[in-house]
Parts: sequence; C-alpha cells; structure tokens
Amino acid sequence: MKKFQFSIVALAVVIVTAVAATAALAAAPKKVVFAATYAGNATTKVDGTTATISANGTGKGTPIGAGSITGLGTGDTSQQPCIPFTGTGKMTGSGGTVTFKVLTGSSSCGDEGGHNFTITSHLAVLSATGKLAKAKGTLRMTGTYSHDDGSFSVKVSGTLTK
Amino acid sequence: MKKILILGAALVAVVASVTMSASAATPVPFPASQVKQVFVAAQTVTTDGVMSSWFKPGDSVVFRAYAVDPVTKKIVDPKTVKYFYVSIPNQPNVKLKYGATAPGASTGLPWTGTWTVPATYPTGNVPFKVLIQLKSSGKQLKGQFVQMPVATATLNISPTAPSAFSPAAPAGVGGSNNGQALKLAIYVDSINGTAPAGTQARPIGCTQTNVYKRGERVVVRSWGTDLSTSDVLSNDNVDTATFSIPGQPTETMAWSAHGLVYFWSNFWIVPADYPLGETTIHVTYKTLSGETGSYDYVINIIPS
Repeated sequence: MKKFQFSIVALAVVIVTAVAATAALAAAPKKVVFAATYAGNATTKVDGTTATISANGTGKGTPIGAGSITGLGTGDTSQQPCIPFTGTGKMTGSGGTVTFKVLTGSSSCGDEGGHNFTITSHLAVLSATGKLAKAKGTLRMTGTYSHDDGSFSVKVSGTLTK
Repeated sequence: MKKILILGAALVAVVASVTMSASAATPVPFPASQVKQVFVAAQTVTTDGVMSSWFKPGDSVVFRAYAVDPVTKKIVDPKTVKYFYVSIPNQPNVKLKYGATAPGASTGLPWTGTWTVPATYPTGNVPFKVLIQLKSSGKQLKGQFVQMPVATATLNISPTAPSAFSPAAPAGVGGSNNGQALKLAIYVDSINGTAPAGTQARPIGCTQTNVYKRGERVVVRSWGTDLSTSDVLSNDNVDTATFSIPGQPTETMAWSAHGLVYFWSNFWIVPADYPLGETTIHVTYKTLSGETGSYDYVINIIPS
C-alpha cells in the first residue's frame, strides 16, 4: 500500500513537472532579429507648419526578404533643427509584410541649409504576416533624407517577439 | 518592336530608380567612421581660458587637448606619451606639456602649448593638426586631431578679429571621468549660433566660444567614439544623446549634417533671467549596446 502511495505521488510530481515545463516552453517568446535597408524617394508638402510626408522605397532584409517600404505621415516644421514626425507605413517582402506606426519621439534633423536630414525613428509593429506572423515589438529606423532631390536611405533593425 | 520599346522603358525606369536611390545623402561622420588608435580632442583658447577661434597677428593662441589611450582607456599622461604636439603649416611645431594648472589648461584638457602668431602671418584659416604617439610596447599607437570643417569655427587669423567675450570659467573635468577608464571618448565645444530676435548678433557667427550673454544661442557640438569598437558615435550605434543644464529641460542632441560632415549638436537659448556665472552643460551618450559616457562642458554667462 505504501509503495502504491509513493508511486502515485511520484507520478503526480512527474506530471506536474512536465506540465510546468510544457507551459514554460509554450510561454517562452521566440525572438526574431529583423534587419533591413531601403532606399527610395520621399515627397514633403508643407502647409503652414505641417509637412505631409509620403515615402516609397525598395530594399531587402532579414527575414522579410527583398521588397519595398511605403509610409505616410506628418511633421511639425515649427520645430527646428529637428522636425518631429509621426505616421504609419508598411514593409513588404518575399518573406512577409510588416505594418507599423511611427512612434512619438521620432524626428528628422536638418543641416543649416535645410538640405540634408538625418532620420531617427522608432516603429511599433501593428501587424505582421508570413515569416513574421504574430511578431510584435518595436523597430529602430535611422537614415538620411535629401530635401534637394527627395532621396532617402534607411536602416530598420531590432528584435521582435512572437 | 513594341517589345523592345517596353524593355527599353523598363530599363530606363530601373536606371532612374537606381540613380535616385544612390543620390541619398551618405553621412560622413566627423572625424571618420572609426578612430582606430588614440582619440585626440583639442581646442584653442586665450591664455586665460577664453575659447576663441579668431586671433590677431601677435596674439597668443593656447592649444589645449586631451587624448585617450585605446588600451587602458584612460586619459594619457606624460608617462605614456612619446610625443604630443601641434603641427601648424610653415610654423615650428608647438609641443604640448602636461599640467592642469597651466594657463588655459584644465583637469579635462591638461595638455597645453602656446603659439604666438607672427606679425606677418597671413590672414585666413589655420589648418592645424594635433599629433600624438604613445610609448606602448610593441604597438606604435598614434592619433591625430583635425578641426571640424566649419569655416568660422576653425582657427582663423585676421587683423580685424573681434575680441572674444570674457571672462571664461575654468573648463573643469571635461570627459576625464576622474581618471577612471572610459567606455566612450567624447569631445564637446560650443559656438555662437544665429542671434535670436532681440539679441545683438556677434560680428562673426558660428565662432568657438565658452562665454555667452543672456539671450544668446549656445550651439553645443559633440563627437566621440565607442572605445570597445573604435566606431565613431552616430545614429548607427547611439540610443540617446542629450545635454542637460541646471534648471533647464534636458535637450536631445541630433546627429546631423554640418557642411561636409556629421556630428552631434543642438542649441540652447540662454534665458533672460538665467543666473550669471559659470554653468555646466552635461552631455550624455547611451549607446545601443548599453555603454554610457558623459562630458561636462563649462560656460560662463555674462550680462547682456
């Protein structure tokens, strides 16, 4: 009888341990390193102190693959030399699509002549598909923009979880 | 024929697209993408520590500098230096001596040397360099400082050079980290920016200065390197770059273009009621890899 009781207890311990381990494994988020570069053109239309921004570019990255980036947003030109901007956008590639929102605190800082700008931005992932399906998190976008010819070049990187 | 035309049009579109992409500004970090050996930073001041980039023939220009050993990651002292001097075109080299109490020197910029501008020295920009070599065993560790290529903020000689605002406050500890090993090597200075409305403009804009009147625009400039990678601090490796001033909101610094090069900067307009006397601009960097570093840059506020 004592042996039987011991076996029941041992079995229960094994089951509880197994369930806990499975739960822990299931709960452990999978990290996905994202890194991409894009280049293209952007237009800015200034009305008063609001700049309406539209950007389109192509590039490639991991794991999203080769594809494009598009974005729409607005900037506050009353603030110099760094113009805060927000907006939304999408990166599409052979490996999936990521839609994002440009977070507050993002800005584009110009030189004295307003020709060349640096871009520093954080992008909150709103949704993702393909290899990045269910991925969540924030990506960092840095790069440059030439107001003279509208060209831009950006790096987008970060670690997402899914 | 139609097919050829379509192919031709497609090719033109591709070429145009590549051309547009390639024309995006490529950042050129100051002084380079990496500082592979010895970090060197220098500035020019009068004998009483007033920072200036404009001098007259006959004036004494004090070069003050500091350098960081890439191995120990500490500020170099005479025990580790083989040579440290200023090279001026067509002039004898100006040897830098170590001593934080020498005229124009400070704890953070303890190496100084004085150049008396010859009466016949030509008017214009002086493209000086500061060169160093350490006594490291086996390795010939060298370093070089050149000025940020912003014309009016570089050393200029002119018989009509305006007098710099004075007096200066002692320059303080700078980025020395009190003698401890550094994670980041940083340089900070400032120039007079565009005069805000209601403020009298200085005779020459964008000159190096560490003395400001209330109402003036202080443009803080900075650059540095991550000593673990030798990479210059840029948007690629910096999470945040800020400066804080007592009693004022913290300002974010931007890595942006200034003429031919990129470095960190932002401005602060001295409030009309800001206390007179010395105040410290505390510049802080935090890198994406989690390293932090700071530099305390001292300015003096004088009445309008």
